[in-house]
Amino acid sequence: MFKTFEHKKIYKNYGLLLFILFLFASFICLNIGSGLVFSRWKADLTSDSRYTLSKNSEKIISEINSPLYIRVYLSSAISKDYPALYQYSQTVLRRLESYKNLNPENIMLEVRDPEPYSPTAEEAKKLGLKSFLSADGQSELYFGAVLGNDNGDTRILEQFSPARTGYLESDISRAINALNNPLSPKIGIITGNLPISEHLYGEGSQTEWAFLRLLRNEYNIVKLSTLTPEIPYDVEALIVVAPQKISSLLAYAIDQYLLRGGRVLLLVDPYSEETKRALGLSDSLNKLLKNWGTSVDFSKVVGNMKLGEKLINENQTGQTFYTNPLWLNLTQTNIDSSKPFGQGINLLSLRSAGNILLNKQDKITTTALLSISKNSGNITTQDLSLQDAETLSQKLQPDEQIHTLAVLLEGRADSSFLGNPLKGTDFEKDMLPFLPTSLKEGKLLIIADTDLLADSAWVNEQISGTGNTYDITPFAQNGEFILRALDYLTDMPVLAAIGSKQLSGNAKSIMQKIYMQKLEPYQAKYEQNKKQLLEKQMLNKSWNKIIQNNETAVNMSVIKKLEQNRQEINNLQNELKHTEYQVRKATTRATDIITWINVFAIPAILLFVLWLFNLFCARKKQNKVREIINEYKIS
Amino acid sequence: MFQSFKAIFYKDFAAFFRSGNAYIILGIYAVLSFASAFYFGGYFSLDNTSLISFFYFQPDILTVLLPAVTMRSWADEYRLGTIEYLLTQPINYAVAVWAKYCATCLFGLLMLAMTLPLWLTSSFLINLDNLNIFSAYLACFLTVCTFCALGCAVSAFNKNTVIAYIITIFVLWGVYSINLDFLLTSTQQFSDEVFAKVIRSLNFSKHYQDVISGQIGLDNLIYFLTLIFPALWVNVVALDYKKQ
Repeated sequence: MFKTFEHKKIYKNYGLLLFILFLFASFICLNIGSGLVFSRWKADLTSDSRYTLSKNSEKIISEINSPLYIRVYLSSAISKDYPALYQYSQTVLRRLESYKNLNPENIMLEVRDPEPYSPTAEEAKKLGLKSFLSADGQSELYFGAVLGNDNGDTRILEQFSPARTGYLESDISRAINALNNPLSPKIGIITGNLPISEHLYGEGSQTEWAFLRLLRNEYNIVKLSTLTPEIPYDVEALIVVAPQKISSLLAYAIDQYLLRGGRVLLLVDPYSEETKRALGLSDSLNKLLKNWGTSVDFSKVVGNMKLGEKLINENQTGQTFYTNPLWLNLTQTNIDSSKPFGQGINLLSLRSAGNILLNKQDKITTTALLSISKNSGNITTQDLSLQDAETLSQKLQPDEQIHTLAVLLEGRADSSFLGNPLKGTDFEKDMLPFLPTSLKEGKLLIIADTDLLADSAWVNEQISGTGNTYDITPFAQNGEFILRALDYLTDMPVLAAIGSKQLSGNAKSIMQKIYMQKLEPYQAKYEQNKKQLLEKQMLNKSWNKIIQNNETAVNMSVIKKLEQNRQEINNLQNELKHTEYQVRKATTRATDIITWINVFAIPAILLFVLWLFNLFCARKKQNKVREIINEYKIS
Repeated sequence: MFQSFKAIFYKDFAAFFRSGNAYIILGIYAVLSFASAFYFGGYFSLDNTSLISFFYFQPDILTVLLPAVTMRSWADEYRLGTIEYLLTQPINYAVAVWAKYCATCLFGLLMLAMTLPLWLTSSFLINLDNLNIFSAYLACFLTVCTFCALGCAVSAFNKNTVIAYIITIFVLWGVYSINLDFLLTSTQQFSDEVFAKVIRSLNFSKHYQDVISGQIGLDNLIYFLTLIFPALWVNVVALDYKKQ
């Protein structure tokens, strides 16, 4: 009997064990099955739809019909050394997974860990990925990607930067599109007197403006002379910057290019903030634009009190805040979104923009892309040259008229010229015949400001001179607007519609935000000191250069000046460090208070409230019981 | 059936507060959660729009604290001898298991509710991604439900609460830290994608990370449900096993 009982117990134990094993096996099978089948479909529970690709990106991915390899180089040490970057790396990997999930047959995703001094690290370096030092400064870390296809074409995303979170989709989709269409369209660029690139102006102190780096990444940019009589036929779009002083020959070239179906992005400016001068009237330009039903008023600039940039002025009485009405920050309401490149553009920074006058023509579709009306007015360029921004803000008289700052003209027009200006010369036989009217529909986009291209108008401090695109961190969407406008002009509406999701300007770390708040009282002085320091350092550098080149005799007065400058630099550096120390101290105090409140005060209060509630319930219950007992006693 | 469910549920839930253990557990949980977010999670330095520094450590904290909630659910009944009374009542075992499980889950929910002020205080400091935070709380709730189910099942096999607590921690740690990624080579090759998917489908962290980052899928839900329901089933079987 005892034996039977023992046997029963053993059977029961085995039965239970088998049952648990069965459940475990079912768990494994079910999860492997669901992982293989359902892992592709995910709901995106983020308010900015972080993991949902736009329809345009989906279209680009659907066009991939041969294997595309995405190889991510992600150093594992990042998780330990740079937690914020590691966190971002997970977002990037999830985003890349979502690309893969849309075309799993053709997109191959691989993650590699370039351990220091390993062959993978060497490979990453050779491919051109940008490295950064580990926390101990001993080894190089990588977080970038290489996209490639079977044809041997590659695109390098040198480094993923959290500052470009909003541009992640745009960057990846553009890289994939470039692999799908390896031949970059040729874009001609004609600049007036703006030093936008050392590629265009030769070796010098100028580094390439960020907008041009962006364009160079997508297009084959070729420089054209301001004296060119003809735009080459293979140029798919032409950018003309600050052409107020264009020759009639160039005007003829642009005119004929447009009539042959060319696409032109024309940036004009009555007052250039970069060169600090008004460039005056341009007859040849307005003559060119006349038949396209538009003209530019070169005598006035547009201002708006509400859209003007808020600035701080430091004087003897302290800080004063004022608005520069001519430095416009255009928002969504001022930007037309009927064209794909205008969608998602929420902030454009323009400085002393001009007024475009419209005179609609039958065969031309006119779209006012940037316009302002309420609180807007004009200021003459003469006034602007003579007076400071604070005085100008008082001088601005709103006229309640609509001021157009950018316009897109699409259609056919007649030539502004009666014939080839080089007629009868030897050059004529090498040129295309004169066209009196449009052969094909042309596109002309006019923006009445050139300062929007300058780095100071839209890019945060950049690592200049590296030639990289993926370290550009914009605070306004000027570059994106120009790039997408060119996409539109070169008939790539899908790319034109892929925009950024957010700007990098918004600090997302709480520490950064508190730091900025605490810095606010010192901001004006701090910025002023920084500016002065930079100027003095530049001065020092140039003096040293002059002395080294033996351009001037080294005498006591020069040495004294140099020494004085050095002393001032030291003082400024000390002052800056002191301000930073004060701000850091205030920030630490604030974070300590927040920590203390959250870690100790809030749990204590909550527990107390819970205890009170429980006590209240218990008392209520006790009273009820007492009442019942009393009732029982009475009865 | 509902009456018996209600009775067991109320009895178990009220028991947490009667002994005062509830305040200790809730207090420790809140302090640990906030302290981990502020001192180790980089609350101030990371991009915390989705309060990642807070949610990142939740499985670790719940692994240690939830066993303290679940250890008593059955072990106490055995210890006090009330199990005989309970099991001889005309109630279905499944209902009793479900009622006790719901009571622990509700307590787990209360633990999570203790951390809601962080959501509020953070919203004054930065713009939060509320949808993502909701998703992350959902991940925490699913974790609580899973850990409670496993904890109740372990408790059903043990008469001693301390042993139940230790074994539960061990089981939860095993489930949470199960990570077969080492089976994949150091570099994930293009051809190994299916294998990687198979391996990762069993990884608790992967599913938890998916949901807290705002990417919830059917595979994540299936993972949690395939842990919860079998654990509850084991719990019912354990009662039957113990009774015999």
